[in-house]
Amino acid sequence: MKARRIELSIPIEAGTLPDPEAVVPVFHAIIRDGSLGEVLVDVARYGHVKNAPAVVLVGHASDYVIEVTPEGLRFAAVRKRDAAPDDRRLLDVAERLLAAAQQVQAALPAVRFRTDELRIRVLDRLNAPNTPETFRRLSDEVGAFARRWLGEVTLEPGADPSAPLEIWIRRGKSEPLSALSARLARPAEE
Amino acid sequence: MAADPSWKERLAARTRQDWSREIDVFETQLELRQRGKIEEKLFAETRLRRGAYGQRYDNGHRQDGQKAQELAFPERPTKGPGTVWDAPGMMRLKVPYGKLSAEQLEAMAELAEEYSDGILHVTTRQDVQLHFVHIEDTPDLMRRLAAVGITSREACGNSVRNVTQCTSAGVCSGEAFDTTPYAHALAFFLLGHDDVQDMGRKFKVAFSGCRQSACGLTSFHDIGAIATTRAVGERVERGFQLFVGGGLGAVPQAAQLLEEFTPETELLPVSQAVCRVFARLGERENRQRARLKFLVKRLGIEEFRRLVRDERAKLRPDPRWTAFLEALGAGDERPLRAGAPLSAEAARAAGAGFARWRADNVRGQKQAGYTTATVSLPLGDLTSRQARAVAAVARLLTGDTLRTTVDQNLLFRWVSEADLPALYAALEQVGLGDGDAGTIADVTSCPGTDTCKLGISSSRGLSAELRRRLRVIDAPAARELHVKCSGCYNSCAQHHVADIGFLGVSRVVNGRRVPHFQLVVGGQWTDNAGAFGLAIGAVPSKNVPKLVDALVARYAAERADGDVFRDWVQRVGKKEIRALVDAHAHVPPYDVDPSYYSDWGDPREYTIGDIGEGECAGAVVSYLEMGLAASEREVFEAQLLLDQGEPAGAARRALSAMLQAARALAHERNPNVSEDAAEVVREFRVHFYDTKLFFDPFVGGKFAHYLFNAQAEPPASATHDVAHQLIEEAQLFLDAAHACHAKLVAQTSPTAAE
Ligand code: SF4
Repeated sequence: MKARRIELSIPIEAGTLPDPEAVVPVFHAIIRDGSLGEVLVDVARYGHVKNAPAVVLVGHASDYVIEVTPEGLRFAAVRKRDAAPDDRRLLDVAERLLAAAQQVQAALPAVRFRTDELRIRVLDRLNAPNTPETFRRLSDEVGAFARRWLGEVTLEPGADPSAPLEIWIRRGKSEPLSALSARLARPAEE
Repeated sequence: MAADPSWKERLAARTRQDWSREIDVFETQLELRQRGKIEEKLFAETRLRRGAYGQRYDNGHRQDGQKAQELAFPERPTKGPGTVWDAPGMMRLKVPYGKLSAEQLEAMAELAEEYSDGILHVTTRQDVQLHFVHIEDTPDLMRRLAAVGITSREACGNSVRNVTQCTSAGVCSGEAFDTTPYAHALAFFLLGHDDVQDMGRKFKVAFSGCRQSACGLTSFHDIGAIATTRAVGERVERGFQLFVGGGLGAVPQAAQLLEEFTPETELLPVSQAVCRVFARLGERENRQRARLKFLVKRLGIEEFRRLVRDERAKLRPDPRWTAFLEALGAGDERPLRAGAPLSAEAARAAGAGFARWRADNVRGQKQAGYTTATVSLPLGDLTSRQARAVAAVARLLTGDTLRTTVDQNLLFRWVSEADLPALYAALEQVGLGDGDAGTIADVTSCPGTDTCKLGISSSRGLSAELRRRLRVIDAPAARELHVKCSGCYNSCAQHHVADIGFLGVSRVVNGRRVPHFQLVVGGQWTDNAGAFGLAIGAVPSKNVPKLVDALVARYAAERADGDVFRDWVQRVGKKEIRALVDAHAHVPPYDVDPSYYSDWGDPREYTIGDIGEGECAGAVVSYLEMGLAASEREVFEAQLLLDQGEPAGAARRALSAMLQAARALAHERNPNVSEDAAEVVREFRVHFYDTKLFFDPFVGGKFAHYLFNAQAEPPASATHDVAHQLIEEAQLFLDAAHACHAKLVAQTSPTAAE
């Protein structure tokens, strides 16, 4: 996929992270320990803003975000500059998301992620304006990738035409992160 | 194969050619710097003038609370001395006098999503800032802004910064006239003007529609223009009372009157002349004394006025000086919808939340049937989604009449009263329905340690905490107070003019660094920031909310009818306030409560290592701490003397406080140092100034010069203003002495090193 920034997110199971700020020390520790193996710079906190990226682990090529939405919390990985080549962008962002989410879960064992509803946001209105045409164009690539990785899925566009292009990936079940990680390394069809 | 699309091509037709060209030039400079063809210092000034500013950790180092670690950015050129190319930075978007169209706000929302972290931040200069932006993204970001009529040119650097004005200009019943076309004309006249390209320091301009209100805050600007009129025969002539040389920063200074009446035709040329005098005679070497306020002080206002008049006489006539006057009124905002009253029934139906929001956030305009409505932004922040929602409702109800405000909110203007429930509902739906605008809970904060390289304490962390707690206050007098928190003495949150202000400092307690805030009281927000407050004493950050509670409770209980906070402070006296501070100054030992050793919102052990290099010297000696404590007391006594109407005594005491602290430090190196002032200064100079041990990482030896200057010319018969300034300087000297103390401690106690 050609895009300067791609974000992939998954929901956090309701009630398993009562205070998003609990992630702040975890993010600081990730920077300190270099445990994600990439350059991470700072932790930004916006918990005072409603329905916002409440806590952001800011990096050079990735950001990791606890996002508060009206429907609940989500965990997102954003891949930005210097990330993977176009044909590996989806795989790359999925790998980063799972790696970071697993570290959060290891530090805060009560936190549970759901993997039945993934959301891709293409944060690049030049290459991917939010139009039905772009959605159709990108759906082929996203659908192929998601089916290889997750099995049966449905894709839907986001509801807000003024927002960046969104592709919602829905599936009938939620599996542990480790299962998704394993299948990402060895896609379902192989 | 078709070439990749580019913003440059896509937006070319929609962008002013000169702006397009400027951005192309900047992009080329960026490339040249990457190839090492432009010197780093030059590139730093270039990018600053384009609004691309450094952020904390752009030196590639980060303190994690236990140790300093290098951030392993790929190796590339620097963005300027001491910076790393890849470290993301801040982008400041200039919004002249805060006016925003729906399209502009939408564009900013998109930029925040695509280049930043999805948050737009409104500043105290009515700008919008995006954080964590990569330098290579800035040309496209600028192009997308330029396409909607916004430039980031001269948003930072030694240039004319954003021109501010009252957000109610044009709709306020108290104004002499609408200053908007004048602010617009001056902002765009000075933008990129040859005469402002060679100034030694930044330059700030503000407009106000009247003298008595707070909105314009002209007292602390390099040029402050207050609208006024005079009768000329049958005619009413418009003009401005023009002030110059005001500023906040470490030691605030009130602007002085340059001209009682500058006719509207002379506003631009006289301002141009002021800029030329500043560019020609302003300080170049010492950045810390380079603002216009120092020049005005050095020359005296009479001489400065003479120079400006001479300069004005020499200016080559420019048609732009008056061209805008021919079109006055053409750009006036017009309402989108007919003004209609809101019925009591409809107001009731809108609910209790609406009633509270309306009471706090809605003000009548001078135009019947219309109101302004503030969108309360916590700490000046809003998300891209919220920004789009605000833009959408503006398109529907008010048109392009939005403003950013100096207290970090957004303002709708020209809201038909009947539309208020719909506006509230739309805001509420995206989490922007909070009331509290202009109340004690509407806390102003600078970025502080969150992103600012100079931050000492977490002003945003503290402000978020205060905001949360202060929302429950309902005593009307207490609700009217203004609270402002700056992360350091630079005063970006304008703490000097708050009722209750705070500035971040750090202290070493029990051998460890502890984040603190100095309490500043006695400032005045009204009368265009009519008076500056003074620091009373420092308390640990974690005790600030309790101190605020105590101050507010006493004020609410003890104020007399008609008192404002400043009156109450004067009546009870600083001694009493100091007693409150002292009661909250205790820091428990680390093993009893380690939370004091972290800042608000940051679980890392507190450090100021991010703002400078620690240096090691000497050993911790209690004599030093005692000396600093004695110095603190003397600064405070100086304030009391000033309050008692004894400026000369106050000035002497302030100098004595500096000598006390200097002697305590000098004693570390020469235990035989006597109490003779000349000897103290000499010893201090040799051991702490010449060695740079006393230097602040950013302002160098500035604070030592406060002592040297005062000692060289002891204030025999100081006026109130001179004493006030000396007290401010003594406080800063003392804070620097504390920082120096910490450096000494570092040698024996590594935990306090940074
Ligand atoms: S007051 Fe200090 S910490 Fe705050 S923004 Fe200004 S320089 Fe930075």
